[in-house]
Amino acid sequence: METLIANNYILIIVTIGTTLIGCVSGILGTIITLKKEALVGNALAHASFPGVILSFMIMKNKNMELLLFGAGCFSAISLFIIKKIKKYSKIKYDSSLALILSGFFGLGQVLLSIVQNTGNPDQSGLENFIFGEVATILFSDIEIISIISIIVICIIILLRKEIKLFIFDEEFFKSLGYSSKFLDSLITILVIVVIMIGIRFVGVILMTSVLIAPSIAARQWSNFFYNNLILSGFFGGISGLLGTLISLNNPDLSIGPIIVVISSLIAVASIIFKKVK
Amino acid sequence: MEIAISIKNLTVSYENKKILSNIDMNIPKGKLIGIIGPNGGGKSTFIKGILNIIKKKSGIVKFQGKDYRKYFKKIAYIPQRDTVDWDFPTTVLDVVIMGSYGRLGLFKSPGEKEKEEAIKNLKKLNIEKYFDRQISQLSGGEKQRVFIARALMQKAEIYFMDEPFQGVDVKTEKEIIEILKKLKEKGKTVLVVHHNLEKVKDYFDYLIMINREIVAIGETNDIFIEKNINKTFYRNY
Repeated sequence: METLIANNYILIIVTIGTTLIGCVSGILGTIITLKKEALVGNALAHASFPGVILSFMIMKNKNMELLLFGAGCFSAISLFIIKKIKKYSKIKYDSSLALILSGFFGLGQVLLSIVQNTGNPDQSGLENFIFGEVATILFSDIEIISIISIIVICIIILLRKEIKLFIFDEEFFKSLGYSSKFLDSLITILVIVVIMIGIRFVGVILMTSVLIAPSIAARQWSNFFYNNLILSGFFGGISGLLGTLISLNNPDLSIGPIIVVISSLIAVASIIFKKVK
Repeated sequence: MEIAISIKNLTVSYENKKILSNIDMNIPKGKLIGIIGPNGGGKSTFIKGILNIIKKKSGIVKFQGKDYRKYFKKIAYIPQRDTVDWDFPTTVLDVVIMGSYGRLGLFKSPGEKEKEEAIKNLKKLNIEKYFDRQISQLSGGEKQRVFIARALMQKAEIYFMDEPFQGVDVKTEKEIIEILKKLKEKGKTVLVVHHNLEKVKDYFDYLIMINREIVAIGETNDIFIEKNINKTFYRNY
């Protein structure tokens, strides 16, 4: 009986966490897909990986906040490099994104091998950041994730009108006296924050999918920006919820890939439905 | 002559290339003004510099004596059509309502009042029947009508339009110019970036001729002469 309650408890907190992350990623994903920056999100997610490992190497423990802080720092560094390459070099934008993505992820793998060879028993579990994992999630983690998700969603709701104008018609937006630099930076910070809380569950490789797939599905159903945000959040949340339930009933299946498969299926089904209609 | 915009020592550069240097001028109020010059002559950069869309290298621009920050709610701006993402999830009515965003300010959402106003403006442009269309389903002329309706929504004193007649059918062009002339009659100042030499005399009563520098500024009848036209359009750089 006790174990059943304990299991239920884990099930509930994990489900809340994944649903919220699916939801907030979906909403933010709509913004970055419409801004045509889906690939930037992909690069930032991959680039966060060495940050996690390096943070462990320096701090010698797996304190979640510190690991995720490392992840955020490396996402930011990679973005800085991408922008510098764009400014000072003739390399095409997509090439520099691909370079940074694979370069940083490779660095993460190298660091991981080094850590694994030290024989430090604490290091087990770091590889989970690649594909994500929920078995070791704590209630305090869920608290942090919930608070951050809600803050991100509130910021987007408050600024929805300005974000819409900024993406649709940046020059008009500027002519109204708004700073596109400020809003652009704010959106980037939100993306990095959501990556930080998401990689724990779905891993750095599949994180983009969680951001992008729900927004692609939503775009097929509505020609209104706000409805796109809501639908995308809904599809993301549902994918998180279903993925978690399936994964918890089949412990062999990792949670991240299942969530991604579900949200991709929703996206593909939506595209087909729109074509047929 | 009442002055709408006064410009002192304006220098604007784009991607570190100086496009326009040390411009001084006074733009009169209540005129329909053509900004004409060849492609790459700096017409768009000129108005973007005035409107703070591109950062100025130097210079002071005043709108009826006020700074841009204090006056921007009375300015309407129509960017070139291809700078906008027409696949964006939004409808004709929604785009026109965007014209009220500046007046509403941060956080406030448009309501019924703004919607009614937007429909009124759509009617002025004869596109009210398309109000719920996704914007990519419009022709070039219809897209421009939507933009003009959005600008009218701003209830501005000064209007800036970047190439509004580019890729637009003859009928639309006629209707738009009628609307601009009406704005002028109401005492508004309208500046239109234009690169076609035809119809300049019919459309504009005042001209700014630009080719990497201000070639001439004044009443169309006074300055739209062969010498200035050659200097503006056929000077080699």
